[in-house]
This record gives sequence, structure tokens and C-alpha cells, in this order.
Amino acid sequence: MLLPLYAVQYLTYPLWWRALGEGDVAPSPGFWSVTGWPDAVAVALLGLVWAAVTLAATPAMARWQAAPGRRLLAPPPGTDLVLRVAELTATRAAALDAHVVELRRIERALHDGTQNRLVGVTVLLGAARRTLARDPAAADAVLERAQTAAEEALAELRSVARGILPPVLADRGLAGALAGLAATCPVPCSVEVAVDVRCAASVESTAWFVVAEALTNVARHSGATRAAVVVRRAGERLRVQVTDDGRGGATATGGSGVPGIARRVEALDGRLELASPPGGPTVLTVELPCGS
Amino acid sequence: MRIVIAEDDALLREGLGLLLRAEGLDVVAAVDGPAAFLAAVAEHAPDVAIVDVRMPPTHTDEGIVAAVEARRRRPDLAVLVLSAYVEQTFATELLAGGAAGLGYLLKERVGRVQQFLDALHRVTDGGTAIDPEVVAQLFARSRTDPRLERLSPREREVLALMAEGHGNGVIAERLVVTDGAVHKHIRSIFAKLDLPPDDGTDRRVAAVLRYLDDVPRRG
Repeated sequence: MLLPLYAVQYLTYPLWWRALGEGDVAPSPGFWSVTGWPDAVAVALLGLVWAAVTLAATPAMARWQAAPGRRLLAPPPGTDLVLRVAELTATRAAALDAHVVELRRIERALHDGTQNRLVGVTVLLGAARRTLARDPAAADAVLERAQTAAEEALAELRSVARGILPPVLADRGLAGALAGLAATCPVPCSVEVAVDVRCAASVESTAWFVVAEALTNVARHSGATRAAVVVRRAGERLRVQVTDDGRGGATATGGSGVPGIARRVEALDGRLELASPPGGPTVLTVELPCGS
Repeated sequence: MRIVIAEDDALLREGLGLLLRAEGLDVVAAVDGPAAFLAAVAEHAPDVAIVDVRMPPTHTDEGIVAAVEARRRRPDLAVLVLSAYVEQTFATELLAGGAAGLGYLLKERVGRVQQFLDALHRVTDGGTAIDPEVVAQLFARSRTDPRLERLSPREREVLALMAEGHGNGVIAERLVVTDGAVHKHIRSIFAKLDLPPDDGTDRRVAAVLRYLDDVPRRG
């Protein structure tokens, strides 16, 4: 720290030593006496030496100072940041991908579901009006079908909206929402949620989606008589486990909802594990970083 | 008139069948996919096919592909394509081989039964039925064309109705003018757009659609 200051002070000494007054005006205490120009120039030469020492010594000193910091603050062995960056890049891509997939799913549901129902309503209403002119008695049957189609359109719309972000999550929290899912599952299902604080909305919404899809699979494919949902906080992660006593043999690739679950879980940097030996039981475990 | 319907949504398929049969039309087959559609066309030799754009397996443009294929096998088959939304490229793809005996309508037009039946008859008779929404989009894309700007507002209305596939009589009726006035407008439009005058409705529609479709490409 002092080295560069000395260098500057001594180098410029001939420029200002006169201002110090008459007599012995050494540049620093304990220095030899300076009484005339030759001494002042000698001081400047000494300044040059200091400058050289500064340039030569500081990098080594800086390294020497940094060494203990490096030793003490280094990441634990086995931490590969390159790998982590690659993983984050991949999951970010998966998040964007899942986003596009999700938007496409919603667009499909709106176009091919809700809109088709409404077109059906207009077609039936058109037909009803024509029938009314010809045969008023028969028109009522057509109107009845039009009304049914309108009701179906409403039901479709509700299910699309629910799939975007289940409103029940906001109203009743994760535990209440999952209890609601279990109550509508045709297979008797117990729910145990041991989470004291709420997680990020995206995490809860994904957890809800995972359980909804898993229970749909249980009801459709497993032949189970009982199912259980357990949600626990494990450190910074939310652990969702869905178990059933069905016939097993579920795969992560088949026509089930598992690929969809995997995509949504990956998007949140979570992990999915599926254990389903033939004969059962099937255990689906999902871990999601809580972000809180 | 023998009709084949290809529509994967059961409610719409039945609704269409119900509507057309109630009008005394002969729906010979109503199927739910492209393969069944091509088979039905081969088996029943219909006069006209009503085809949904989105069908299994990918729900993108299967209907267009099937319609184009059916026309390749039977060039005199009239096809009316129904779409949930206007997709310009689909309309262009469909009309690439000419506009005679072709239609492209939004699904909800079916509810206006009389207009839908008119379009169906027009297409079956070798005419054209293009959804006003498609025509509006073509106009929107072509609005910077200096030759289109030379048209008067009334001439633009006539051009739009012509592009939808309407004949002189309907255009006169819609705009509440005489046949002679429509005739005069059309001659003026063709002169301003440098198109060869043509009295055949389908060739006229094809020329107009090609013109509108080409404008953005000419820049």
C-alpha cells in the first residue's frame, strides 16, 4: 500500500523540496539529511527504485494475499459449476418449451373443444329456426340439443380455465386443493400434507397438476383399491408422493400422463421418479425446489 | 345433391347432418377422419364434400391435405372447407389449383343457414365461396398496392363481394344497385387493376384472388 506512495513522493521530491524551507528537509523521518540539489535528485532516484520495487512486488503480494481466501472460500470438492450451468440452461429451455407446450394445449382446448361446442350451438340454433318455420313441434327437440351443446361448452370452458391455474389453490391452499382432488377420485384416496409454509404459486400449481394427473392414471389404468398422496417439505424441496396398490407396470413413456408430468416437473428444475414393478405397488415421487 | 361430411367433432358432424337432411339434401356419409373421408368419396361418388380443416391425427391441416388429394383423384368433386379460424396459408394452398368448385368458410357461418346453403349450392355448381374474413385479410395485406388505392369505395365493395365468389345478381342485391351498375363497376375495376376482362364468375374470382394474394409478394 505504501510502496506506490513512496515512489510518487520521492520521484516528485525535486519539484517541491524547496517549499519545505531552509536547512535539513528530509522527505521522511529517519532519512539522511537533504541540504541541496544533489541530495534532492538522489531522493528522486531512490523514488525510481521504489517504483521498480512496486511494479515487481505487487502482483506477488496480491497473490500471496489472495491465497488464504481461495483456500478458505473454495466450493467443496465435486462441485462442477460448468455442469450446473449446463443443467440450468437445459431446464430453462425446458421451461420455455413447457410454456409453449402449455400454450398450445390451451389453444387446442379452446379451438377444438370450446369453440367447436359453440359452433355446434349456432348450427343447431340455425337448424331450429328453419325447423320452427316448417314444423314448430319438431323445433323443440333441436332447441333442446342446442341447449345441451351450450352447457357442454360451458363445462369445457371451466375445465380449460381450471387447467391454466386451479382457482381452488388460491382459495384453499395446496392441502385443501389436494383434498378436493382426492375426494373426486373414484379410487379411495388418503391425503397427508405436512407443509407449514406456502410455496411459490408455480410450485403449488405443478404439485397440484402432478397429483391430478397421477390420480387420473390411478383411476384409469392401475386397478387399485387404495391410493395415498403424501406431500412433505424436505429441506428446500417439496416432495410429492402418490402411491397405489394397483397392478403396477406403469412406464414413464407410455400413453399415460407421465410424460406431461415429467415436462412440467423438469421445467421447475425438479426431479421425477417412477417405481412400478409388475404386480405393484406403483410409487410416483416428485421433488420440486420450493423457491422460498 | 349427394354430400359427404368429414368432421371429427361428433356434435358438429351430427348437427351438420341434421341441418342438411332437414333441408332435403342427401347426406350419403358422415365420417370422422381423412382416411375414412377418402374412402367415402371413392365409395359414394358425392357431388360435394364438406371438410373440417383440423382432423386427426395431428389436428393441423389434415382436412386441406385430404381435400386436395380428393380433388386430385376426382377433379370434378366440389369441396367446401370449414375452419375454426382463418388461416391464410390454408386458403392459398387450397386455391392453388384454381377456385372453381371450392369454398373456404369459417365454421360459425353454418349457423346462418340460408347463406351457408347458398354457398354450398354455389360451390357444387362449380362456383366459389370464400369467407368474408379471408377476403378482408387479403385486402388488409394488399392495402399498400397503388393500383388498389385507385379504386373508389364502391368499387372496393364490389371487389370484396366478387372475391367471396358472388355473381353479379347477388352483388347488385347486396349493394342495392342495378345489374348494369355492377357490370360497369366490374369493368372499371378490371381496367384499374390491369386484369383481362372476364365474365365467367369462377375465372373472375380466381383472377381477383390471385391478384390480392400476389400483391404483398410483388411488394
